[in-house]
Amino acid sequence: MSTEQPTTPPNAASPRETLQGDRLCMQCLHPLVGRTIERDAGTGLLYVRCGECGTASALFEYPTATPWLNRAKSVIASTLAITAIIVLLALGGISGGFMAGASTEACESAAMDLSMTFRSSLDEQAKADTQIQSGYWTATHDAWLASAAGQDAVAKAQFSLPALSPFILLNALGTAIAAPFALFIGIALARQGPLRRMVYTALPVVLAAGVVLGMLSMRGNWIAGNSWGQVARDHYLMAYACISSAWLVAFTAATAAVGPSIAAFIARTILPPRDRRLVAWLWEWRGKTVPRD
Amino acid sequence: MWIAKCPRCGFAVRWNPRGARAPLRLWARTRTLNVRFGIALSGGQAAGLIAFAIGALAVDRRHEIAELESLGQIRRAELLAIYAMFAASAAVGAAVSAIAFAPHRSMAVRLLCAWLLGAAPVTIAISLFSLLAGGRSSLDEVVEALQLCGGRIALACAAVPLASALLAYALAPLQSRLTRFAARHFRRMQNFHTAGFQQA
Repeated sequence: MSTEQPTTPPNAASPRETLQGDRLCMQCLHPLVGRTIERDAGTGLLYVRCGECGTASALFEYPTATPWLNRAKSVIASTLAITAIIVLLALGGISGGFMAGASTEACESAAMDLSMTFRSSLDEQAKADTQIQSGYWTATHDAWLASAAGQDAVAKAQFSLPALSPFILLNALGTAIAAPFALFIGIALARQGPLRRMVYTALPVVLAAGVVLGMLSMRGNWIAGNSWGQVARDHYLMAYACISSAWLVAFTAATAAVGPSIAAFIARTILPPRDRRLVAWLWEWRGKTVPRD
Repeated sequence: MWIAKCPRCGFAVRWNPRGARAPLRLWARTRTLNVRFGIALSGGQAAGLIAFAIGALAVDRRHEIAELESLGQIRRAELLAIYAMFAASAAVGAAVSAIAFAPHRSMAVRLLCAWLLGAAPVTIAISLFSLLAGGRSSLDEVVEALQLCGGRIALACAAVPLASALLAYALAPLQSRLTRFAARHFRRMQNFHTAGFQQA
């Protein structure tokens, strides 16, 4: 008589649990009650297999949302990155455009002012001479320009009211339009220190200034001619462009530095204390507590 | 621990009223703030737009404003009526904006918010665009208007914020009563709808 026991696989010897309760197959909606609970060797997850379609369903969760959550994360991250790039490009474009526009407009006004000064220096007989005219594109009078009166007029026209009006207006408009972008970048970089915020925000403006200054200097060489406009460009264009660039760089850097503080101040002013938790990151990103007063 | 029982079938679930309502409370509060800021900013921006229109009107009619006393009665009444219409509209917009802005602050701060955050950016932006579009002639017109009747224009412009302040102070009690009435009504409706839930 043999004493050997019949060899059986270990899985078959151990009693196996079956699913109790209402649960449906995610594929065919067949009830899974009574199905044997199995463990996936690779992941350790418990699952049951549908008796109809054979689809495996995890017991602890239906992991159908996970791929969509991962896709949503990718979409949100790429949207933020694209927004950041667009904002930086927009800030550079706005700054560069208004730098160039303000400088050239101021030059045109200064040229007109210069030519009018020249015309007013003429006597009535000379004014009647059609060969001598005044205007942006008309030829200059070299002898007058070389005289003391001409040099004085060239020095005064740069900061005359007609030249400064469009310069200041265009710079003010550029500043007003660039301000929200600089504030946005400053607030987005609230986790960084003020110096880093200033550098990151001023960088596109500095690059735009470099491009504008380079283009303006090349344009001065391309368009050569003996006109009041050319005189104004030779004497004033780079100075105007440098002033405009310096102002916009300083303004955007300063706005980015104080942007989070301004946003926090406005939020503190217009939001009741209990609602400030909605924008608590304005303080928490800077290592501060949400004010309760 | 609460147990919420369905009054129809008796199905019971664990229920933490505050925890269960937290997302709804957050959504409701966000919606309230969104609506309030929408009204506040829209009112302020409308006031800024109309303030710009008043300024443009003053610059355009600078000669008539400078000689207001010598104008004909009908012409003077017409000019003042147009100004009053614009001024009243701007004052109402700014007052509504101030009432909606920051209800926990004093009325002076709320008015400052309405004019600085709502109206001023719009007025400045449109004024700069107009001056640029008009070129030097527009700038000369503004300078001429200030020289001709700067005092009267300043008075006319200052009257609008003053009127908005008076209106805001007058309307604030009415608004607070309306808010309290709406909150009470909402609370009663909520109690009515949740009356079926019982504590187990």
